[in-house]
Amino acid sequence: MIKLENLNFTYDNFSTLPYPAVINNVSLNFKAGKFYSILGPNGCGKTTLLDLMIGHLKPISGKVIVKDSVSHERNILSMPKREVAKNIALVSQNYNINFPFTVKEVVMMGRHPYIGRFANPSKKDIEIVNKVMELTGTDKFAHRKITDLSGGERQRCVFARALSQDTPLLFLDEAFSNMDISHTIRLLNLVKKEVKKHNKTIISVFHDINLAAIWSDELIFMKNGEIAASGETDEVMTEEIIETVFHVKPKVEYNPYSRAKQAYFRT
Amino acid sequence: MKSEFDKPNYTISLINKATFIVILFFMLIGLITLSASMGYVKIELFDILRIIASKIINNNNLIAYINDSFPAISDKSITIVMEVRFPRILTCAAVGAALSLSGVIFQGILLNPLADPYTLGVSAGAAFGASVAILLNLSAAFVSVPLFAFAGASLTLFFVIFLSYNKKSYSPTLSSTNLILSGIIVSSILSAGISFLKYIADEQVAIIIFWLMGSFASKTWLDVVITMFFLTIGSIVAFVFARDLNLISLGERAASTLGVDTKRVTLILLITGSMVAAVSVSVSGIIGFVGLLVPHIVRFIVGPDNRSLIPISMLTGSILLLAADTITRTVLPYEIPIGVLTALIGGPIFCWIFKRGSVR
Repeated sequence: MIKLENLNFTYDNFSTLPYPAVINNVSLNFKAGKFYSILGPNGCGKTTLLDLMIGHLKPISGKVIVKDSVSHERNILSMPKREVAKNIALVSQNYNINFPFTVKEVVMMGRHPYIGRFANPSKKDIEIVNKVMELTGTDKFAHRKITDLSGGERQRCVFARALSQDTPLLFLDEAFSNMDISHTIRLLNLVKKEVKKHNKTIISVFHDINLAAIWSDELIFMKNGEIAASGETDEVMTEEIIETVFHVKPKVEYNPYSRAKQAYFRT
Repeated sequence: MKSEFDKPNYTISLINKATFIVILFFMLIGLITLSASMGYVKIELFDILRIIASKIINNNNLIAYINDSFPAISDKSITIVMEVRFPRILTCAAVGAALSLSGVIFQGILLNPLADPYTLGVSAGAAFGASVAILLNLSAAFVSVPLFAFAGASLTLFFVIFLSYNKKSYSPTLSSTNLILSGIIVSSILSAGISFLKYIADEQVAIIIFWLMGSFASKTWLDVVITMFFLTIGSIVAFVFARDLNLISLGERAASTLGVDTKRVTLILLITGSMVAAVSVSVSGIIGFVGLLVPHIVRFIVGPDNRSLIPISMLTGSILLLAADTITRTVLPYEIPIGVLTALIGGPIFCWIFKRGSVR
């Protein structure tokens, strides 16, 4: 679905001083029908990697290749923005909105790449938006101003907007940081179902290792802009890897209730 | 089951927005007619309509019929209306619309409901240009002051845009913070420059000060044509990109992931908004608070969707500025500079809105 080839990036490319690369020679291959999670300490380059993958930043070298439904391989930077928006949706960390749009208007904006410049939303657009709002529970405040909502509610609206883009690829950049556990699980189950049913690809940046382990098919551990480990969740969810990446001493064992490996910590 | 919140939050969405636009349009036409009849020489409303009709209708028989049925209008009245009042009124209406349009655009691009057409230093640039022209005594050729003002505004704009591009090429965008900061930096430098020009200006200092306070007195049909021309182009561009502007106002990163070519659209809208503001400043001087307050109040009533916000703000801006100008021209014993009047009225209103906490 999306492929990274020898990606390199630094924010200070004009500096004459040697400056640590933010992304150092990253190659990854994401397949359709899988839920991936990227884990790593603060500042290790997770968000930067997503920005490179969505074409928001330009790599110094290497490329990001998107394979669309008709299996054309295209460099993300050569795709028009509208095309990118039909293939990739991003729920970003920042869900601040300064203008008092209603929640429904905000979710409808997810359909922007499909609606012609002077056209009105089609029946299909309205159907998708209504369905997404129902599934995410944002229909309860559909006509309220987004600026009146709490952080977690607003985050759900932005999440709903990304879902209404109806893309094969969905990037989640700490998309659950302000949501309570019930909404987090509700939305994780929702997107997991999409992955299995519609062969979509989710790439999610997580801070909670245990949540990531429960819902992800594969984990990618990053450290200092490099891939420290990647693979099936059961294989890479080990005490050694978590210790080298996060410098903490966990105990990892299979939890039959979670049906996944879980890490335990103590003081 | 419908919750109590499950109803539209904006009063006007109950009425058809199109109807609202039509009502505002007719209010504007009515105000233009009314304003043309008011003044030192009182001219009957009906006579104004006859003068307009005689200019618009191409049927000589009909006009002859009307002229025969009613007492003739004196040539003096016709001259006053056609050569003095209409140019002033129409320029004023166009400038009111232009400043509001520009305000909507800037507030959207800069993600800041408190931005106005002058945030990026357009007014300071225009003022500096005009001051130079006045100081060099170019005011004899009457076009040169507006021309210098326009040049000053445009140069300032491009310098501000140039300044806001980060030299680090990784971020292929114009950040709103950079734009606002560059605007403030350039404005302060230009303000110092204007102070210096005033200092060395001797007797011309009064002309500079008067120009800076804004006025629609002695406008000509040329001013009408120029402002209308830029206003038309500006509003067409704004309508074309209205929905993109909605998305840009959510933040440049969000807009970009939703399929807007943010860099290109931002640049186009930025230049459009600034040009429209620059033309306004160059014909009428600096008129504050219209571009800030009108979009703000209209957004409060009709919501932030630029597709309706733009036309309604433009009409509202026209009506309010024309009303203010008519008051200073006909009602007040002395003509107060329009820029001073809008600030005196707009400032307290803005304080009130701000204190009420509806500024978002």
